[in-house]
Amino acid sequence: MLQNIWKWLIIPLIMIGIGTAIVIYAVNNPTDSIVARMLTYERIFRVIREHMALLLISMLAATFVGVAAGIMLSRPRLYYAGRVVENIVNVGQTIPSLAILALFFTILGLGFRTAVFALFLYSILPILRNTFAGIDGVDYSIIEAARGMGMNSFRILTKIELPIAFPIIVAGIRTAVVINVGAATLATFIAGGGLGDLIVTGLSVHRDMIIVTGATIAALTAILLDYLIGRVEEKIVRWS
Amino acid sequence: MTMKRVLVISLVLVFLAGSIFMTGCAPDEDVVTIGSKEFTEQLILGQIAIHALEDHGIPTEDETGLGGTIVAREALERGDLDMYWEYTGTALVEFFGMDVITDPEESYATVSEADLENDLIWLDYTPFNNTYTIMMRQEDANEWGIESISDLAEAINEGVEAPEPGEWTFATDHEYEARDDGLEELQIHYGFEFADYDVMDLGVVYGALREKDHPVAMGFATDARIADYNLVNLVDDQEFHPVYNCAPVVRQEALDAHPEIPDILNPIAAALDEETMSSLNMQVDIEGQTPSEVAEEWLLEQGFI
Amino acid sequence: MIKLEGISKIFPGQKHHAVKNLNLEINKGDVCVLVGPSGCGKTTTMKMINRLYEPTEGKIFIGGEDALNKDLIKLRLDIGYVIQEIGLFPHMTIEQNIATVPNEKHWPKEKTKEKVEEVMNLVGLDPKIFKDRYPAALSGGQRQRVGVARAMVADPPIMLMDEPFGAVDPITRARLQNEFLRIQEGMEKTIVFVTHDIDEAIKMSETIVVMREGEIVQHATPSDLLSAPADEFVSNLVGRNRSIKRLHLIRIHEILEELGRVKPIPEDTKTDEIKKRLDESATRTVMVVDSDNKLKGVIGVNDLKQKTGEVAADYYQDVMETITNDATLNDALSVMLECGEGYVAVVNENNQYEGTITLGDLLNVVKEDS
Repeated sequence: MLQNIWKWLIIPLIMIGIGTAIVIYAVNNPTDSIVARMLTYERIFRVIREHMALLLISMLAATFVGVAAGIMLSRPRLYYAGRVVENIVNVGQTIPSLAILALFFTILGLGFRTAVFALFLYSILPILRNTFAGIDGVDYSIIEAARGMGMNSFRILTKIELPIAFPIIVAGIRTAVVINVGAATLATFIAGGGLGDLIVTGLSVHRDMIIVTGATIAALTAILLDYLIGRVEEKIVRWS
Repeated sequence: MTMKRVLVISLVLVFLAGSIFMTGCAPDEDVVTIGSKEFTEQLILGQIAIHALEDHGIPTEDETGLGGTIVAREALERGDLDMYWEYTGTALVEFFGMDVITDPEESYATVSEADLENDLIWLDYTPFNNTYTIMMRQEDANEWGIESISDLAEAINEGVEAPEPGEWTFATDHEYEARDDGLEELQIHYGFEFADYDVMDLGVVYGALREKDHPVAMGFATDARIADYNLVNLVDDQEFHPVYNCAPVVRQEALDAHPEIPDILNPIAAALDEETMSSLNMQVDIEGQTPSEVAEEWLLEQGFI
Repeated sequence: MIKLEGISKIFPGQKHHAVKNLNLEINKGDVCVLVGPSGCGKTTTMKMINRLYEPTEGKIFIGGEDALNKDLIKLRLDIGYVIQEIGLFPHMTIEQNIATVPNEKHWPKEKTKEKVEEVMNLVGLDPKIFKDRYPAALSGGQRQRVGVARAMVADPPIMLMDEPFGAVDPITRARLQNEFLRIQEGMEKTIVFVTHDIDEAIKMSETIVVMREGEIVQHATPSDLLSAPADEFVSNLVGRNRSIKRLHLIRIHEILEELGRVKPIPEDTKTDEIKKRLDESATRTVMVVDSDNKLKGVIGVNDLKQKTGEVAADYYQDVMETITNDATLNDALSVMLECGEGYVAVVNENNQYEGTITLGDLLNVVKEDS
């Protein structure tokens, strides 16, 4: 058991270790006054906190809405609408995240909330698509067996379809999280804060150290979250 | 048939090469070649010079929109250009490797003297100073009686209630937040502190001010949106920001051929203040007119031609 | 038990009847097999009984009750359902799969657990080994067993089986069929069974319903069907070798007693005695059993020549394949052909020796018939 926990923790600890080392090094070895001004513990923690807030709020909402919409579209009555929406979603996914951000900036104005909303919309897409595909992909014979044994469609959804689609839905959430971590760095353009503050500032004043610090933390965050979600999924799904 | 085609093509090529050769290496002594960098303000300034000189009977050649600072400067030094408009701050840092200067006169004197040995003459500089600016909405500035950054500092320090959204917050781009001559030093220099600030892309700072997300913002002093959004530059009365006034830089030979050029351009430069420049930029950037149209219209309106 | 009155089904958007004015009565405890080529309406007919398809016209009575006006969920909970694709839930353990209907019926946990173990034993899956496995870890035959166990765990009086043994190899299929018939003997369930395999139909059924283009061509006992096919369609379906098909109808235990076979020998039988017994044997082999009458092995003439020893235990070799006494003569024939021997040993469920069937015995049955 203890060994198991170790196995779980080793990769997160390595990730956090690398991140911490880079932050400590960068803060203590600024190359000039600009780097020193931009890379303080206080500022780095603030942008990480902002980034996590962008990510978590938009992901929670997107998971909720994406799964709900995916379920709704998989119902027989809306099935063909579902196919249409699936195609729209696939096209939507090709719109760059910056364009989505810009679009909602013109409608909703500046700030954290606009950024969260844009990220939310962008993250719905893979979750919705995978939920629909996951439920749609459940073998028909399984559904028929369940119906024949006297399960109503709600029971079939909750006991059969969703559990079987679960790994695919989680795959969608993982995709969304990884995209979201990257897209959230763009929030800084509209005063949404986050790790993008460091990256864009670094780019505009040509200080690689600021860019590297911001980008590394973002990358580590993506890897870490992807890993953790994967591990949780493994714990839950033992059948495949 | 193929022979014929080859012949035609080679003739065309020879002709083209010849014309390039002629214009490139043996310029008409009389013609003044005028250049500019590639952004709106530079294109307009170039066109202003072209229209003004042509109006006084001086033949010109339009080489505006050349590319970056370095391209324009090298073309001028080689003699491919006879003149283009340059900023004092840029020359100071990029050409002479000196530190920025925050006094306009001193900055101008330094660069114009330094360029004498290159046989390049700096004519009079514009009042407009295309540098960082601190902006407010025009109506707020009037109502609060704030004209300069010192006025702003005083209002903040005295705890005067802020215009919408109600707190003395500030909108800045990423670079201004980080720079040594940026936000942090500004506050130290003038002795005040904003309640808070938001960092965003330079492109949305002006909009953030207009939409009343913040009462104060930074920007660039001649940006078209200042005129368009009805914003106002606060005077940098304690000369904190480095200066980037603009002046025509002319080759000595061109002045020898046309000694009346300074008399034509100096009054024009004197009329170009920040408000004017921003408004001219707006006519191109936002209203979609060509730089040449805007330049000619303004010169006519001002009675320069 | 089940009565279909004037049932018709037209699927939306189609002109032709899938099932046309069909009348059928199935007695309690009978296995009624619907057979016919694909598209004949047999599956459609079956699925109307648990209303996976709603009939366009007609009435259905189950145990005297009007099924079409009954609560759908209640109706289905009381009808066991097995399909060819099995449709096991991949995310549930075998135990959870089998417990589906009890859970839908909100049985107490203890009762469900007991009953699940009971049916697992019944279909020959050791609960200790298989209970916590997932379907992916099972072989095709094991999955079919789970499918059957899942359908009968709640003791439904009626079971619908849509080609339930269609997806496994022939040997496994025969074994599953025999096991199922053995179970059915003790249960007396009313079963509607769909297949396109006439051999399976003959073997499994009390009555056979031959269908074509949505209508019943003949409804008869297997024996009648073989001896008096209603028309050319049925006789083509049954095929030319009808007498061999009869082997499906006869269970081994039915003829075993008449045969009065050579008795098996205990393990301590002396060599001389073995020789004597071999001479008496038509197959030139004798079976060796232990004191509990369990089959230990077989001794042929060559074994005596090649090996040296004093008692039977020194000579016998393992039996390649045995057959249970509830199998049909056709199964026995399959095993003989498989092993390349002219005989097969018959044992009961506890591997106790019951007798031996030879190729000659099968020939006699076929001869008598024709």
